[in-house]
Amino acid sequence: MGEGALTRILQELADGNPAAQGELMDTVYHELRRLAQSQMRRERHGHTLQPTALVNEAYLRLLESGSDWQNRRHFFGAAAEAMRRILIDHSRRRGAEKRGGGLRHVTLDGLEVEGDRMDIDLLELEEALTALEQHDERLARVVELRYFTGLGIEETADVLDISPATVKRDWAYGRAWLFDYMSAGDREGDG
Amino acid sequence: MADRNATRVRELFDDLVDQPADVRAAKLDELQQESPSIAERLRRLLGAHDRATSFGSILQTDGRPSNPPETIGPYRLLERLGEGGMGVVYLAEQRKPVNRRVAIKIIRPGMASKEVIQRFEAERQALALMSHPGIARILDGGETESGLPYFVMEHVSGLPLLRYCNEKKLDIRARLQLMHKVCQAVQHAHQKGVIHRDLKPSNILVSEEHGEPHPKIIDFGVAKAIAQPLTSAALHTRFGSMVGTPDYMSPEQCSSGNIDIDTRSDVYSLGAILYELLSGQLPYNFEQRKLGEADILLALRNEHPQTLSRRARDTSEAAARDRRFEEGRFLARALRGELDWIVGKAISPIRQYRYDSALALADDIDRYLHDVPVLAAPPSLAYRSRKFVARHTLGVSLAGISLTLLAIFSVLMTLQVAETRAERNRAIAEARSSAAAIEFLLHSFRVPQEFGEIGGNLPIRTVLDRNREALLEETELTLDARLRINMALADAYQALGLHEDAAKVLEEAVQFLNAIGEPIPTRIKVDLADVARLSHDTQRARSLLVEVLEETEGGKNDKSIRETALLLLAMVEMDMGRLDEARRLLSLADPDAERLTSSSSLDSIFGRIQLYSISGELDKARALATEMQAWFESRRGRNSLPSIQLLSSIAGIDWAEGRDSAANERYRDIHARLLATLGGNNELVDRAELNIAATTTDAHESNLLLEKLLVRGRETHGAGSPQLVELLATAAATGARHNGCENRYLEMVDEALAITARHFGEGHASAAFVHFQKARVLALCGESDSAMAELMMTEPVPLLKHRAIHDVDLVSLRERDDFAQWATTRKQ
Repeated sequence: MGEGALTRILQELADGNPAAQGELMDTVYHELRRLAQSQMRRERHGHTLQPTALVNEAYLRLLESGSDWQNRRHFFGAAAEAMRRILIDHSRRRGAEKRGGGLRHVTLDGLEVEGDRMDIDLLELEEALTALEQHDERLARVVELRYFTGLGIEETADVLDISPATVKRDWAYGRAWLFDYMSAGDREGDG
Repeated sequence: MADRNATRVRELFDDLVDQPADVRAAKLDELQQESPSIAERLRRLLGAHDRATSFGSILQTDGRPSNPPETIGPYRLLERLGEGGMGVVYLAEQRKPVNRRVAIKIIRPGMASKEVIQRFEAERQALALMSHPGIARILDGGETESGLPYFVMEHVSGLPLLRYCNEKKLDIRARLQLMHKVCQAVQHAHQKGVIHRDLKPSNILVSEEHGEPHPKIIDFGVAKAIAQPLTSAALHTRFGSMVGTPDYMSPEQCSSGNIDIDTRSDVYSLGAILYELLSGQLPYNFEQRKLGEADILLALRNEHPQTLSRRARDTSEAAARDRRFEEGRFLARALRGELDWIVGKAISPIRQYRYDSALALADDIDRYLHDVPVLAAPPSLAYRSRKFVARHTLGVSLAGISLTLLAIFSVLMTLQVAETRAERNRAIAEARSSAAAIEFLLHSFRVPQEFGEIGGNLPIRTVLDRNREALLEETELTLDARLRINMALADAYQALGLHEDAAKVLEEAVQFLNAIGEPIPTRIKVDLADVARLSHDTQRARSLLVEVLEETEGGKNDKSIRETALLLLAMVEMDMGRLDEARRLLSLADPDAERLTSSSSLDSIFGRIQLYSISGELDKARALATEMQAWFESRRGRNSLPSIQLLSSIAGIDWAEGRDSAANERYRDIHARLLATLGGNNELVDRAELNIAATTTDAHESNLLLEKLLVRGRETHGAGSPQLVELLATAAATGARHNGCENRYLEMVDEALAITARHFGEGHASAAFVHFQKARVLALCGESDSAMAELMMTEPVPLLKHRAIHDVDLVSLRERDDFAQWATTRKQ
């Protein structure tokens, strides 16, 4: 699938053709996965995926010519979900490779932080995110967008069509909720 | 209902999240009355929010580079300079009152911003007093509109220290001269009452003025204001995994709850930086060693890092060419001696032995540079003086160590038999004259290549396993060679603490003999008995040994086998709480049992120390153990197994006499020596850790260690294994001591009792030990009648009476008449 295809789909969406939505998701997913794989080949030793960089790269490559905000909005919505799927797949595969050991800590260097790399268990995060989705769908969307595509407060607010102040509050709360869920192993999600 | 609560929690969270701690606490207290469940949930979420710092930095934050505020107060941001663990740094321009360029560090969200700013304000005056060319001034600090703390610093252009040294390929002298300047700058700050707390090469920037390197330290005052990254809590903020690197941090900064930081913490960091500048490597290399948190704390407290010169020797040629100035072995030669001492003194885990100021370190560097003898002494001297001080401050005699009950069980004998094994190894060496045996043993070293494993990283265990499998297939060997190989393999497994595998090898030998209709040789039986005892199969061990004694009755050739059997049987009898019988057997094995003679075997010495200890003759046990320990240490070295084992005996005696801190120090020493000798993942190392956990006063360390050991023990041995008895009982009593009475501790100790009942029966030393630990748990739970009843059941091990008198956990029982009566009755 060429890069033109994506531009076309985005254009169709912008023109109000809702059928393009599913196609967009597939296209973005495949494009990101392709990028992720080529990146992993380059960095064989580490298992470093930089989600923000990947999404940005994909976005720049795909929308070099004349992207408008409508396009961005659709793209990031799809990209966040696609990125989430890719990382989870990646993590599961890694887990499976490690003699059935389900858990694998993948290093996510969203930021180039000197001497300060973060390990996060993606499968745990996925489980927590799924629980958060059930608790409050919008919170999960906010986290997804900010985390998997690296969108800022304003941009997230634009994609979801809510106010920046709401995004900010959602982000603080969603993050605390996830963190609590993951660290305490509380699977009730009652609050 | 649940939905309404969720909405309420959410609303309250939004209200409270930006409030300072006291406002939050007040509101939470109020809520507690109204709805405890909402209050609890809120407390957890707010806690999670605060701890989510590092999580936040992954989940992209408000300080993110693409979206910075354009102005902060009077400062206009110009460009992003870089990013560190705490936040993002920008170059900014100040217009009023003066026109200048500054660096602004915006702290990441999640660091409890109100408190950060409060702490900063508190230290502001001290910071303002600092004025030194080697220190970047902190000019201002505050809060951005979105509520993030920021610090304004003098803008410094320059390369981070390490990069500068490597890019300029500075030699040792030049590096030392540079560090000399750094130390002087740190000294200035210390004199003004400011401790940096986060010195590391990336916080020291080097620029050149008139061709001279000029170091400048940044971030003074920042670490203290942020406080968070420097505590143990921050090392494992997320999901229990360690995130920060403690590479340049002093041990006291890493241990939990310890906020007692002084200038010597900075001295440590300077030493660690010096270590890296000179050797190219970090003192501890936590990352490479993949240590867990508990191990890092332990390593920081107990391990002395390798000396500088030894570490430098490992620096590869390529690394030396790339980044450094001299190849490893030349470098090692240059560093040996005085530089080893200087760096070693600066990074001593115990701060009393560090330089007492940055200036003192600077002076010693200066002395070195001017060929004047340095003040730092070789480690051995320092070690000796440390021992001296420890001795006198504790007011204990030279022999101050003890034999915990833990040591009473298998530690002693594992090591002891390893020693006996040396004798047998000589016999095995004879078997090597058999060409077939040689061929066989060599085979296992060729196998790796067939498996495509090159590089010498094959675990010993794999080699042994393959040997064992190959032996089953083997048909060419003579019976004698075969049995010797069997025994060699069993010995090797034993030395690794793999008793079950050792048992299997021996069982295979027995099966083979049965299959060809040959009787089982007595020496195999002794080995079988040894393994059975260590696997806590006391009955089997006993009946095998009785057989051996019958077979060797009156025989002359089997004298050493008979003696070993007698000693082993004595140990078995001690295990079973029959001390008189043990005493009789010991004197049969070695008629001069009350005296040490040149012909005394190691086994009989250990047997006697063991006997004296268990029967409560602690002075005799200590005297013998101390004498022997000194002997072994001088002849066979500090890390020889007998010397370590005897140390463990002495440590156990200290424990019995209630000298927990002396015992603890000794166990840490043992732990370090065992690691040096055997490496990790060894039963003996685990035991040392258990003993450290049981005697330390640091609850956090103790909990971490016990948790780790329990997980590992259950995994390795499976629930219900007799190998878990001491671990469960000790963990229960120690846990109750540190965390107070909890039901799970009673459950754990009862689990241990159930296992002892199944495997050993009453009267067994293990059972007595578990009863003792149960008594401690019960006493801590305030059930003193039941505790007393448990103590009564420790009768088979008189040693425990000594401990009971000193044990602080049992203090509530001491007023009781029945306690006094029990404690003073000695079974003779």
